[in-house]
Amino acid sequence: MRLYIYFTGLLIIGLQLFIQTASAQERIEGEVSELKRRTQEQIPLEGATVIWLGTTQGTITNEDGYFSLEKDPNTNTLIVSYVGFTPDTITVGKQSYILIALASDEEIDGIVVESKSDLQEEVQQAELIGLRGLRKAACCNLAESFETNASVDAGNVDAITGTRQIRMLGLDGIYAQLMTESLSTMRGLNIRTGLHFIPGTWLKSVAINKGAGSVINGYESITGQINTELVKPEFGEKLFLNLYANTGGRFEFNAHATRRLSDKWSTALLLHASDVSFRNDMNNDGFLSMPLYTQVNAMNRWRYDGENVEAQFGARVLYEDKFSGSIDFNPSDERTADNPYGFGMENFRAEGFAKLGIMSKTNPSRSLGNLLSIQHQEQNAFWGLRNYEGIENYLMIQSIFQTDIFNEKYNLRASASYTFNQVLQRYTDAETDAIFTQDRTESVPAVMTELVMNPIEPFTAVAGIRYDQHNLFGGFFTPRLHLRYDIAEKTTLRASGGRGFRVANIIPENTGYFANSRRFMVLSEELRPEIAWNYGASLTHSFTLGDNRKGLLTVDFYRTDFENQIVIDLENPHELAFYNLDGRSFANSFQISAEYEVLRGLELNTAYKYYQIETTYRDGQKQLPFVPQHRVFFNAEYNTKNDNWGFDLTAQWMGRQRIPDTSTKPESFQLPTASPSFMLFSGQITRRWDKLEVYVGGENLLNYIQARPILDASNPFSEDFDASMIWGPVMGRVVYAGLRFTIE
Amino acid sequence: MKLYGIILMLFVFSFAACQSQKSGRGLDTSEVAEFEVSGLCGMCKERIEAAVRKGGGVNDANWNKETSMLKVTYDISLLKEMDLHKRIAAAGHDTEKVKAADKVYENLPGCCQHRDKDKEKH
Repeated sequence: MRLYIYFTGLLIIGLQLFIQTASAQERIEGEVSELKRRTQEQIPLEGATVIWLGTTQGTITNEDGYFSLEKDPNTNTLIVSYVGFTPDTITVGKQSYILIALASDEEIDGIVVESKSDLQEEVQQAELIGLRGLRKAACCNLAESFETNASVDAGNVDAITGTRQIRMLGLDGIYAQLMTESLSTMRGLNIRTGLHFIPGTWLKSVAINKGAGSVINGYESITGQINTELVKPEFGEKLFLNLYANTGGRFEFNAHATRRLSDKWSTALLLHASDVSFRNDMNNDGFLSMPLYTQVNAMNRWRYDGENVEAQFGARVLYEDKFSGSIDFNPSDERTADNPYGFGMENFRAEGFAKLGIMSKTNPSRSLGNLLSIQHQEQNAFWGLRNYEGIENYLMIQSIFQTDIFNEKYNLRASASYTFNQVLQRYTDAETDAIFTQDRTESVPAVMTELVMNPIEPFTAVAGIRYDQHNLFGGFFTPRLHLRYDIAEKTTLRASGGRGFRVANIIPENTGYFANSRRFMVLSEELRPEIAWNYGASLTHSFTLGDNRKGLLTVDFYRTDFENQIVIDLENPHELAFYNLDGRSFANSFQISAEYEVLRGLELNTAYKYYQIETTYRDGQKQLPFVPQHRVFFNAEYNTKNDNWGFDLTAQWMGRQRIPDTSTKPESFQLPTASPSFMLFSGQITRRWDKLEVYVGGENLLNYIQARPILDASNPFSEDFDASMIWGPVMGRVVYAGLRFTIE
Repeated sequence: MKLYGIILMLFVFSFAACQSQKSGRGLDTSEVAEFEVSGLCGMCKERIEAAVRKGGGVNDANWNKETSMLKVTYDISLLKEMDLHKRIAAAGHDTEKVKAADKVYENLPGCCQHRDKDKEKH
C-alpha cells in the first residue's frame, strides 16, 4: 500500500513535468539583433517583426530583441523584418531558442559605404530612407522620393521641362553629390535627369549625408551626399511587379526579378517603362501642365560571393523622349515661329559598373576594393527655336585599401583613382544665330586618404584629404573633417567642414531657364570651376517616452561659402546671363526637427527650416530667387498594429520667395517682387497583404496652382514670353493608384 | 491516517532535500553543465571555449571534438545554463538549445561551418 501511494505521487509529478515540457515545446523563443559589419557586434533590435512564413501569426520583439511565438504546425520558416534592414528567412531546427541577426540594407556594399543603419553612430549627420519610407510616397522615381523627407527639399518643378529640382541646405541639388551605390552616376549631363532615371521601386534605400562628404567619393560634394542602393541580386525578391496610374495620365510599370544561380552567383534584372500621353492644361493657358514622355529603362546586375572575394558588375540602358509646350504642339512639325511653341528633350544613356572587393583572410578589418564606372549619355533638347546637343563619355577607376592601424580604434582608407570625362556641347539659337559650344576633356588622376579615429569612447573624428591633378585646372587639394562627440548617452554633437569643387555644365543644369525669350549670355571669357567651403554643426538628442515610444530632436546649422560660383542671373527680364562670381556668395541653413512616436504606430515628423542665401549679381548682392526663406515640413504616418494598413500625410508650408525683377516689362507682364506663401498637402493609404500591396494617394490635395506661370503665353515667340518664373506647383491635384506584387 | 502521514513525510523530505542542497553548497556556487555544441575542428574548440568564457562567470570550459560535448563549470549565482548556450550561439556555433544567427554563422571559419556537414551525414 505504501509503495503504491509513493508510486502514484511520482507518476503525478512526472506527468506534470511532461505537460510542462510539452507546452514549452510548442513555443519558439529567440532574440533579434543587428549585426554591425565592422565590429561584428550584435545589438538588440526592438520592434522587429517575426512572422511564420505564409501566415499572419507573428509578433514584435521587445526592447531586448526578445520574442516568443507559438509554433505553427504548417511551417518551420520564420520571416524576420525591420525597417531599413534586409529581411531574413530562418528555418527553425531542433532548437527552440533562436538567435537572429539582421544586416542593414547598406552593409552589402561594405567596400565603400559603411553601415548607415545606426545613424546615431555615424560621424556625419546622416539619415536613411528605407523601403518603408520610400513606399510612403508611391510616385515614382528618385526625384520624387524626398517629398516625405525633411532634410532634402523637393524644389519647384519647371513648368515646361517637368524637371524636378531637389535642394540641400537651401542650395540647388547640383551642389550635392548624387550617387548610386557609391558611384557618381547623377552628374555631368545627367545631373538633372538622373534623379528621374532611377525608378522608385528599384530603390532599396536612400542615404542622405549633410555637409561635406567623404573625400574618397570625389571632390564634387559641397552641401552633402545622397547615395542610393538598388535592388540586390543576393537579397531581392524572386519577382516584383508594380503598376501605377494617375489622373494626369501617367502610367508606370516596374518589374524586377532576382535569382540565386548557385551559392556563389546571383543576378537581378530590373525593368521600367513609363508613359504620359494625356494632354493636360490645368490652368487653361494653352500650355501643357506636364510634359508628355515615354521612358524605358533596364538594368542587369550580377554578384559573385567567394570565400574572401566579392564581385559585382552590371549594365544599364535607358531611353527617354519627352516633349511639352503649347497644347497644340506636334513634335513632327517643322519648328518655326509660325507653328505652336514646343519643348523637347531626348536622352539616351548607357552605363556599366564593376566592383571587386577582396577581404583579408586573417584580418577582417582589412580589405581592398576596386571600382570601375563607365557612362555614356546623349542629350538633345530644344526650346522653341533653340537647340542643344550634348554628348558625354565618362570613365572612373578607383582602388581603395582599408585597414585598421595600431588597433581597431584607428581605421585608414587609402585610395587612388583616375577619371576621364569628355563633354561635347553645342547650343544654337535659330532666331539670333547665337552659337555657344562647350567642349571639354578632363583627365584627372588623384590620390586620397581618410583616417577614422576613435581614441576615446565618446569621440570620433574622420579626417580626409585628396589631391587631384586636373589637366585643365591644375593640381588642388580637397580637405575634409568630421567630428562627433557624445555629450551624454543620448546626445550627440557633430561638426564638419570641407572644400568642394565642381565643373558646371550651364545648359543641362538650367534647362528650365531656357523656355523664354531671354537672351542667353555667357559674360565671362572662361567659366571657371565652382569652389566652395561648407562647414556646419548639428546636435541630436534621442529620447524615449511612454511605453518605449522613441523620439529624436535635431538642430543643425550649415554655411556654404563660395570662392567661385557660376552665377545664374535672371535679374534683367530680357536676359539669361551666366558669369563667374565677383563678390560674395553664401548660404546659411538652419534646421530644427523633431520625430516622435506619439501613439503606438503613429509617428510624427516635423521640421522648420530657415535659409539665407545670397549671391552677388551684376547689380549687387541679393537673395537667391525662387527659394523660400522659411519652410515648415510636417509628416504623419500611422500603421495599424497588424501592419495591414498604412496611412501617410505630408504637409509643407513654403514662405515667400523672391521673384526676379520684371519692372521693365509691359505692365500686364509684370510680376510682384515676391511670391505668396502657400501650403501643399499629399497623402497615401496603403493596404498590405501577404504578397500584394495596393495603394491610393494624392498629391497637391488642395489643388494649389501658381497663378500665371507663363508670361505672355499666347505669344511664345514674342520678347515677353517667359515660362521660367516658377515658384509654385503648375500641376494641380493628382490622384493615383497602384499595386505592388511580390513573390519572395 | 497512514496515508496522510506518508504525504506529510514526502513533503517534509523533499523540502529538506532542497534545503540541504543549498546549505550543502555553502559559499561554493559553482555548477557543471554538459551539453552538445556543433563544431568540427580544433579551431572551433578555441572559439567555443573562448565564447563561453567571454563575459565572466565561467571557471572552466572544455569542448571535446570527438563527441561535440562541452563541459562548463560556471557560477550559478551569476549565470543560468541558458546564458551559456546564448554566449556560444552569439559566436556562431549552434548548441542543442540555441541556434546561432545565420549571418554570424556564415562568418565562421570554413572548418567550423557544421550545418552543411550535418546535412551530409543525414
